[in-house]
Amino acid sequence: VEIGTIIFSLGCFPSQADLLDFIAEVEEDHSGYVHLDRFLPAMTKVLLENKFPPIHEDVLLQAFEVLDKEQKGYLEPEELTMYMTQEGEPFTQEEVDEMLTAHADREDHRIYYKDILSQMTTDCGL
Amino acid sequence: VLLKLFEALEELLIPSYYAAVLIQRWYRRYRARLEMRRRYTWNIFQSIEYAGEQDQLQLSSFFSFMLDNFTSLNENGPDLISQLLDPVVDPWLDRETCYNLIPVPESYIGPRISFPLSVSDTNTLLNAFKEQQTLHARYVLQLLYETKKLLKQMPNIIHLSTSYTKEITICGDLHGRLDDLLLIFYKNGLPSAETPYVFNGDFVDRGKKSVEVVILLFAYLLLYPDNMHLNRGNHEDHIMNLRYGFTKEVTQKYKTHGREILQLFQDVFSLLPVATVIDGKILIVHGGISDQTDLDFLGSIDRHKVKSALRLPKHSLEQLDIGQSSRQAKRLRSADGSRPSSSSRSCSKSQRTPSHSRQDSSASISSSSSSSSSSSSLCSPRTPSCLSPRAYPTSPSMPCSINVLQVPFLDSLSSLPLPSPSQHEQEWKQIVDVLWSDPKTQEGCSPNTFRGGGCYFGPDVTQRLLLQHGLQLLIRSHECKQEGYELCHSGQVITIFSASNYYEEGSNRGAYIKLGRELVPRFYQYQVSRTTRKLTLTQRVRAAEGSALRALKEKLFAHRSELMAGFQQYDDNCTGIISVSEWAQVLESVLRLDLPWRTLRPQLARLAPDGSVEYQSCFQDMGTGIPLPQVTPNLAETLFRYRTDIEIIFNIIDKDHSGLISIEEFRHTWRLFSAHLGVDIDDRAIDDLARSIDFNKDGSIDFTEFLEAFRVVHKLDQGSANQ
Repeated sequence: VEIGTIIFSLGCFPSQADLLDFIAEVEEDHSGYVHLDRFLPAMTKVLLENKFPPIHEDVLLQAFEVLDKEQKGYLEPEELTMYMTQEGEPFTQEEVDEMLTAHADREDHRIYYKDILSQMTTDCGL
Repeated sequence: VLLKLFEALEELLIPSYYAAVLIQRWYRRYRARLEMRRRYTWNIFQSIEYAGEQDQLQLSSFFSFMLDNFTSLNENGPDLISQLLDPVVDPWLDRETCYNLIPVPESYIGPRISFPLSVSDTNTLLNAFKEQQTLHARYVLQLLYETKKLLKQMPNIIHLSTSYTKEITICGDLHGRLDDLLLIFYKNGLPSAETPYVFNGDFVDRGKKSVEVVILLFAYLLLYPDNMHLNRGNHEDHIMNLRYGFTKEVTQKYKTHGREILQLFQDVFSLLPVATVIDGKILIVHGGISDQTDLDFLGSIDRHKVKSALRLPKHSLEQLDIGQSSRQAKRLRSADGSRPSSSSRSCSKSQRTPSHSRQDSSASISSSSSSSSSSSSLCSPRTPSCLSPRAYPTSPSMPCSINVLQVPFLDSLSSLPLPSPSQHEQEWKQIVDVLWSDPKTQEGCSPNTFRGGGCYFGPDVTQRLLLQHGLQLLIRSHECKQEGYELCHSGQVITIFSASNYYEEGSNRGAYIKLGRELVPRFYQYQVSRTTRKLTLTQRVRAAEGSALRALKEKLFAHRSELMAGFQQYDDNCTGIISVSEWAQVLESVLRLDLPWRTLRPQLARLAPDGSVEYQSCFQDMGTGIPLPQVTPNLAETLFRYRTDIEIIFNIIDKDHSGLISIEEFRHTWRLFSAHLGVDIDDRAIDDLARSIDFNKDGSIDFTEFLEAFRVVHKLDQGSANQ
C-alpha cells in the first residue's frame, strides 16, 4: 500500500497488476519491506520511460460516459458502487465509501461526474 | 448463436471494464496525493510542536543559569525567577487546614463536595464539569491536599496484578481534553474496583479543560486508590505548564487563589509515581527508556526532588558552561564559511575536528545517533544566532558565556567527558529519560535532539531492558499517533495516545488499551466530534493542511531577515528568483524543521514559469497585529520569534496576574532576555519601545496588549470565520 501511495503521488497511474509486478521486483525476500537502494533505480526507470502515463481528463470523462449508459450526466450511487466493486480492479469497501461520501451530491446522492472531474483536477494543484 | 451472444456480451462488458479500470486508477492516484498531503501536514505539526519543546528547554536553562550564576546581583531579575523555579513554600500553605479559611459564598452555584470523597461526590463533579461549571478554589485546594497526602505514601513504581480484577484499562495523553476523558468513561465505564484504570501522564496543558481533567482523575484516585493509577508525564511539570497553557488556565479560572493552587499542583505533580508494572510483565511509563534506565535504581529515587525535568542540576550547568564556550568557537568557525547552505554541514564537521577534543565525544554520539532521514541537521540546538552572526552581534556589555548560553539537550550531560555525574544528576536522568524518550527504529540509544530532551531508544535497548527485568512489553504514550495507538520494535513497544483531534479537528483518533489476565492488549479507538456528520478524508486533509501551513508561514515570517539574507546569497543579480534546491536549502538551514520543503514549495511561495522560486512571496499575506512605527525591524522580528518566551517571562514578573508590569520591570527583563538571546538591541530602543506602549503614561505596561502587536496576522484570514 505504501509503495502504491508513493508511486501514485509521483504522478503515475499503474494498474494494480503493474503495481504488484513493481513491488515484486524491488521487494526484499518477501519481507514486506523495500530498500531505498533498490527502489530508487527502479522508480527512476519507471519515471524516465513514462511507463504508467497519466490519464487525460477527456479520457476519464469518456470512461464515465461509458458507464452512464443513458447519458444522464450522472451516476446513481448504486451504479457506481456496482461498477467500482465488480468491474476492473475492484475497489475495497473503504474506497467506495470514501468516494461516495466525498463526491456524491449532498441532496440526491448522485454522482455528477463532470463537476467532480473539474473539482478534483484543480484540487490536486496540477 | 453462442458466438454471436458472446460478441454481444463482450461489446457490452469490455468497455465498462476498461472504463472502470481508468476511473479506479485515477481515483487511487487522487487518494495517494491526499495521503501525501496528510503526511506532510502531520510532519509540520510535529516539527513545530517539538521545536516549541526545545524553545522551552532553552528558556528554562536561561532561568537556571541566571539563578545559579547571578544570585549575587542585587537586581530583581533572578529573584523573580528563583521564585518560579524554587518556590519558597508559603507558610500559610503548609497549614493543613488553610482551605477552611476560604469561605464558599452562598451565591456559588458550582459543585459542592465533602471529604472523604464518595461516589456521589465524583458524580457531582462529573455532572458539573459536563455543564461547564468550575469547582470552587476551596475544594480544589482541599482535593489537592488530600491527593498529596495519598501520593506521598506511594512508591515510584506501582505494581499491579490482573488476578484481582477482570481487566485493566490503560489510557495515554489527555492534554486537557475533557471530552475525550468523558467519552472513555462513557464507553468503558467509570473507574471502580471492577474497572481499574492506568492513566499514563500528560493530563494537562494544551486543552482548555486541564483543570477539570486533572481534578476528576485525582478525585477518582482518592476514591479508589487501589484501582486508579496515575503515571507522571513530561507535562506534569510546572515549567512546561508555563508555555503550554495549564498555568494560564489556572490563573484565569482562579483569580484569587490561583497562586496557591498552582504551587500545590507543582508539589502534587512531582509526587506522582513514574511507572506502573502489571503482573511483573508489562511496564508502563509515559515516554520510554534509555540504555541507562534501571528499574531498581528508578524505584529507589526520592522522586519528589525532581520538580521539573527542565531544571538542570546545578553541577551540570557549570559543566555546560564550559561546553558553551567551545560551542561558540565552533559557531564562529562555521560562520566563516558564510554560505548558509554549508552551515548545517559545517556545524557537524567542525565539531569533529581534533582541535575541539572536548566536544568530540558528544558530537560523535549525536551524529551517529541521528537517524538517517531526520534530525541529522540538528547537531546543535536551534540557535538564533548560529547562522547570522552579523545580524545579531554579541552584546559587548555581557560576559561572553551568557551570550552563548544555549541549552543543553538534557542528555548531552551524560556525553560530556567529565568525572562521573553526581548522585543527584543520575537520579534526575533516570526520571527525565522515562518521561521524555521516544522509540526509534535504528539500534542504539541517542539523545533526543528533535525534542531536546530524553533519548531515542532502539529495539536493542528495549530488548535488553525487557530481558533484564523479565518483562514482555513496554507501553508508553508521549507521541500523537494517527490511529491513537501504534506498535513498534517488533510489537515490544506500544504507543497509546488518548487525545483525539490533537493537532486539528479530524487529525487523529484516540485509543485506550484493555488488558486481561492473558496479558494480550486489545485496542479501542474513538474520536470526539463536534459535528454529527463524518468528515470525508478530503475535508479532513484540507482543514488540517490549512492550519499547518498557517503555522509554518508564521515561522517563516518570524525568521524573515535570516531567510532573506540566505536567499540573497544565491541571488547575485537581484532577480528575486532562486532555484528550488537553493530555496529549500536556505529554509532548512535556518529553520531546522526537517520538512519536505520541495513538496511544500507550491504552498509556501509563488513559482516562476520555469519552476524556480520567487522568494519574496514567502512572506506575503502576513503582517503585524498593530503597527508600531517605533520598533526597528530587527527588534520587531525578535519579538515575533520569542513572543511565547516573552509572555512567559512577563507572566512570572506579573505576580498578581493583573496583566500589568512596570516600565522598569519591562526594561530590566528585556535586557536580561536579549542578552540571553545574544541580540544586540541598544537600551534606547528598548526605552522608546517601553514608553510608546505605555499608552496612558501611568508607568505600567499592559503586556497582553503589547504582545498582541506581535502576533503574526494572516491578512487573507482577517475577518474570516475562524478568527
